Amino acid sequence: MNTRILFFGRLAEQLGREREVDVPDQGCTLGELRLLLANDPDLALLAPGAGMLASLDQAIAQDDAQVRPGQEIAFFSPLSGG
Amino acid sequence: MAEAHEAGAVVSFCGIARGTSKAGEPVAALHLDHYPGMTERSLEEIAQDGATRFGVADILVIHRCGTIAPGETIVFVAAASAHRRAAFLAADYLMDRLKTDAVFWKKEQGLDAARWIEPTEGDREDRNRWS
Repeated sequence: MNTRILFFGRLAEQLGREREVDVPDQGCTLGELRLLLANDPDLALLAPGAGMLASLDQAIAQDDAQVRPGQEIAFFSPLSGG
Repeated sequence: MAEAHEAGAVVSFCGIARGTSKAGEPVAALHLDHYPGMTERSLEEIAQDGATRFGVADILVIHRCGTIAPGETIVFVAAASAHRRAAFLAADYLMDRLKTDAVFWKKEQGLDAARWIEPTEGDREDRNRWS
């Protein structure tokens, strides 16, 4: 396991605050990472199109963004605002 | 805030947790989850945008997270400007942006069940009237 991913909102309630996962050494797109993670039934909610948002290094990211091992990756339910 | 003598107006707003949901059901507590770092930056970005847009002298935004009981303050905003109009507009704008764009996840705890809240169509309309 080379990367820690964080969860917020409804996802944190279901999955806990964080989890260690493997990001391919050569990197991949966020969409590819979502597919890899969603192979684990626990993490099926992270699949592309399942409605969960993601951020890379604390900036909201789309599925075509590049992900590297060790980057700060988070997944979360839609923001509620304050 | 407003220590510089050119600020002749300060408008402030407090948002307080209500004891009933939009559906009229009792609310025991609100829980606001946040992403340390990203949440603070979203508040700073909204405050800076409000200051620039209305040319006010200073802005203060304080937002709570964690568990909040009905009757407790969730958010405080204040805007200081030379004349009152800009300060009123800035405070109004800040709240509309905070209600939709601040990085929080809000859960309403009822007496039996809890539910996660998302911005309503009304919240989005409030924000979009500024664009």
